[in-house]
Amino acid sequence: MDLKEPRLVFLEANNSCPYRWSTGEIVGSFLTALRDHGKLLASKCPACYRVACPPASYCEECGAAATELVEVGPTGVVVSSAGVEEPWAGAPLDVPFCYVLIRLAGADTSLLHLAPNDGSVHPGSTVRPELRPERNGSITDIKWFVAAGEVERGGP
Amino acid sequence: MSRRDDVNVAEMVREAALCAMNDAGIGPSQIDAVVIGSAPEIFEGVNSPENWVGPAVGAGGKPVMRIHTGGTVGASTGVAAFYHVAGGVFDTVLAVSYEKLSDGVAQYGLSACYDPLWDRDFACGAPALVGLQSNLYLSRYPGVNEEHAAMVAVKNRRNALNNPHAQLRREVTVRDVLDSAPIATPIKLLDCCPTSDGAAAMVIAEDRTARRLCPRPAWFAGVGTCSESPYVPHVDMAYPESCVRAAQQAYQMAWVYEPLRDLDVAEVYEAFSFQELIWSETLGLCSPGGGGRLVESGATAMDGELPVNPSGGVLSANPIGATAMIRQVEAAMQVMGRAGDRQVPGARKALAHAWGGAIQFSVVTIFADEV
Repeated sequence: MDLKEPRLVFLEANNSCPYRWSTGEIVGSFLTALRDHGKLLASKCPACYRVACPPASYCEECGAAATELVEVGPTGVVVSSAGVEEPWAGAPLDVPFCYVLIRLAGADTSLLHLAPNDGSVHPGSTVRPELRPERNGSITDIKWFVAAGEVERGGP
Repeated sequence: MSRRDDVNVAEMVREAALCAMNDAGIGPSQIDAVVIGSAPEIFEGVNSPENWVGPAVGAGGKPVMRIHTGGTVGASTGVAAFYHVAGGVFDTVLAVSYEKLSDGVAQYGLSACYDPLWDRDFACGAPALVGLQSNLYLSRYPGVNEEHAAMVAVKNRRNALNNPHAQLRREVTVRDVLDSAPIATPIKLLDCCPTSDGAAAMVIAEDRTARRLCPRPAWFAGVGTCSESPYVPHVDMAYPESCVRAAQQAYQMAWVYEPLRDLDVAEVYEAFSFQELIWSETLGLCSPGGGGRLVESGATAMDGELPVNPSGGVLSANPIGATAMIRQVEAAMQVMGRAGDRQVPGARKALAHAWGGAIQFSVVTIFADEV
């Protein structure tokens, strides 16, 4: 064996590990309401009245504790979108889709989610969530947001 | 900066560290402390680089500190080393940062950075995030269009021809960019940075030592850092406040009043071409919505009023953890008059910008040829 001859070696691995993330009470309430009732909750700041969805137990704007929950949506307005024509392996959906930022009715912040990429949803569109029939208490209990019909326009 | 199958992480970092120390004419024994920066470990799948990279750069037995602020980490590492010295605690500090993206899957790593409670399941990666940012920006300013972003790509990819460290060195046309494969609208393939392996290092020394080691050092003239919400939709991505504030802090410290006039060159973190338009506005090089006209006018070209990204920018190489320090190194080399074929003649004040952590962090550093 020639010790002077350089050799390149690659070690291969595919790590995976189960995790169990604590959601905290506020996010836990949001996910429970979504799973059990198909409703969307937001946290309302008692100091500056900012309504945030996704909710958090603190106000990101002024730093106050924000433990009051209010219902928002279900309709919302698309603030921005980014369309994907060909989903890659591991993409959240296996059909063409858009990433969208949605300002839910009654909320002061936007939510990141998905929408169809068929021309029906674009910035300014009013959309509503399409819930999955089987829900497990995660944000993906909403499959995506689809264009809201004329009747539903304007929010709850 | 390219694919480095011939070295492991520690060896690659060592290469950059030795390069910086050789340039300063010193060895590891003259370094008082080391600051190491890297992006999330998930990119390489190897945890706690601070444990073993130190000895590889000859810093066994020295104080070592690790910095971690997403994509801005390289710049934060330089700033932390500056604080070490400016605070008067250490005399000579080595700052190193790196990324070896070829060891893992970059977009998997980027998607895993998102909050598991809210958006990790969407596997958003970087192009989709910046697609949302770009569409938000385009819809706010009807005067800016995809062609303006393509002009950024054309300019920076041409500049990269002058940079031997760039990974992508191929000229493209506006038509090439517009016709390239769609990734996440409005982002197309040639609007995107590559994934890279690379490392960067700087020796930062106090006044007298710097003057002794170097005939024409680059001085930290201004530093600004700022962070905002970690949740992307909570940030005004078309005009991130963190960048505006970081720039204001750095400008105040460096006596920059009119950035376009007072700066001679800028290196900004445009991982996607649209971002150079946005950063030129948040950095105050033009008014909000003026980014398209700025690049179109040629003001940011190599022979323009304020060349932006003479190195070819991030579009030409993106070893994430090192990228923001590369902006600092490039800016420093400009005011030292040592930027080779990409030198902006007579550059005396240079800006380095970085964004990171899902558009949460901004760092602006200004280097000058005198204090």
